[in-house]
Amino acid sequence: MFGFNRYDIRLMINLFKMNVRDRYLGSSLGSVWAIVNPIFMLALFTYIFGFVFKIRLPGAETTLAYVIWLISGYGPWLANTEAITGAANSVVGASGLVKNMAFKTELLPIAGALVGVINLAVSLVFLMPLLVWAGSPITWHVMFLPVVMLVHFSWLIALGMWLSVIVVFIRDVLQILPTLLTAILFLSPIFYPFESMPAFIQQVSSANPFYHVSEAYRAILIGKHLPSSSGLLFVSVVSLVIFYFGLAAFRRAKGYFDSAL
Amino acid sequence: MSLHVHLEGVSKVFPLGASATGELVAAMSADRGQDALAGGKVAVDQLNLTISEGERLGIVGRNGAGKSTLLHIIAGISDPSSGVIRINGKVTSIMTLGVGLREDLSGRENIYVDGEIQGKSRAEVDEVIDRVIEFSELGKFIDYPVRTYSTGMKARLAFSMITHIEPEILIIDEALSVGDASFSAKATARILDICARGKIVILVSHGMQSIRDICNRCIYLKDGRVVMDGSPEDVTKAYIDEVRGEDEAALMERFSAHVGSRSRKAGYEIRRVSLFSGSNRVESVRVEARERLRIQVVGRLGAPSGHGFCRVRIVRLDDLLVFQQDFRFADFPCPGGEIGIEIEFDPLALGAAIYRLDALLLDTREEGTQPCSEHSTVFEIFTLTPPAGGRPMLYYPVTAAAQP
Repeated sequence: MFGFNRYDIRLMINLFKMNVRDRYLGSSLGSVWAIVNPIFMLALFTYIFGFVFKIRLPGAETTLAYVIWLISGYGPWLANTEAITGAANSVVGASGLVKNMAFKTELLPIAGALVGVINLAVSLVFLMPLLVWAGSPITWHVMFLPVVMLVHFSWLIALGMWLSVIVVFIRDVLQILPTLLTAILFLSPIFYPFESMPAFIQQVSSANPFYHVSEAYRAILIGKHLPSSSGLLFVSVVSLVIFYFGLAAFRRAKGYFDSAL
Repeated sequence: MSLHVHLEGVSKVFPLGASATGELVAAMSADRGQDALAGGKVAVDQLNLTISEGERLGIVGRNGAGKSTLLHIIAGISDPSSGVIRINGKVTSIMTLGVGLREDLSGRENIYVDGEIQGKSRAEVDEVIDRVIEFSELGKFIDYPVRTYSTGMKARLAFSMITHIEPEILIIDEALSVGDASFSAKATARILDICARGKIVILVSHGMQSIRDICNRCIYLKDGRVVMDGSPEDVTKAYIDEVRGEDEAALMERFSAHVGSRSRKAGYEIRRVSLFSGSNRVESVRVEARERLRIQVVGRLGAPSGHGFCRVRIVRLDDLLVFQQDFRFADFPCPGGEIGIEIEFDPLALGAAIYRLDALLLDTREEGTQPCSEHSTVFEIFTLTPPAGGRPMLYYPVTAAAQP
């Protein structure tokens, strides 16, 4: 598929393992930070939005309900940040390999984006006891989480493919990326419900794949119903198209990496 | 079908974009014709090359001749801008040692990481890891973090990782000498061994000896083109001769202020001062240290030979006088005023540097020390085997014996 074979898949898994290790290497608590960091961020946002701003969702009276709602949207967002930054850095960060070894370098952004799975998994695991505590049953709908994750990460990989190749030539993108991500975070209905946006922005937002992804997680975890198939289909199609052209652009440009890195 | 590497009309043009965005656009549109890359730097130019099974090809050429670019293209690290490459066989390339060495992991873990980078499974690494560790001679340090290693230890570890490859088509860039003398010898032996097992070997090196030892075919690359293709002996010799010629011209150009001759007194003249290094019959201003050096001074005297001498001085370019000796004209036959003196240094004990050689003809009957004629030239002493970590002023031929 897309010109990858079984050998490439194994190499990609190896690169993924390496990314995870490098991400947390050198710190004495190592991979503990992979868990502690997201939890700390989740706790921080819970405090600010739940206790300082005292935001209440329509129909949900408790702070706990808001916390759960927040984490089910912000957890996937942590994965977005991690995956997009990881993929954007992937080729530049592995310049030693790229310049000295012949391999399918297009695996790098894919492996880089997949690092976000860790953050997502941590958030989901953190969320489960909260759901139980809030008396909200975990239904059979969670079986659909892998499908949502698949669509979610197709989207992140598609973005990462473009970013990784652009960053090789224009490093400035790395400087603006964190700001851009924060902007997208606040412009997407993640801290606030979709319904509280002005009507015309709602229309614009329905073209925002990040919105559809977080809605899908919330549908499963909070709404206890299947995510909107049209939303997921939309994200899948957008991802596939962007990925297809991104991969083509990457393959065309990779012959010039050694002079640009 | 036999293994082969076949290149047809392969060119590589690097975009010299005014901006990064321009380079990105150029790179992405590269396969839509050459227009986007017009004005770029041509590293490899319309190259045709066929390497068949059993050939061990050496590539020589000056810096920037396109050697590494060509290797990168064959290794698949970089794509050609135009042309066709057909390769039959699995390519293994060794460009730089220690790529992907993780400072915070132990030597042993790094061997697994290296396997991961190569796309090997853990079981495959398990098979060779003991031999890798043994070859590295790191002993108990193999379980210490690599950041605690010395540079030499890192190099030994990195080199050991590549020693268990089973290459079909092997590509090696530059010298791979690592570690102390004994490890370096062991490493060289292993490289020869790997090359012997490789069915096709492509080697880029500035060490002519390793090309002659390993290869059975050699090409000389210049400005991205093959200018010579033949046996390693012939090609390396032609290459060295050409490089020497260019270097000498460059040396004279650079120090032209120090070169020249003039005569103050009618009749006196120094026609030439020539240097011959080793057993060379051709004069050269690049002479090798520790070899024999002969200096010939040929000139004419304006007066009977009884009253003067020829002074030869060697001055380092920072004005340090390192040698001066006078040769009385009376000791040499000078029919009709013609004189020729040959001075021999065997071996030449001076260290590698650039020196000025002055030859002066002096008449003792004259007042003062103004020479009747003088001639200066510049020469460079080089060594192919510089001692590590220093530039000694002298290579004095000493002997050493065991002290009971």
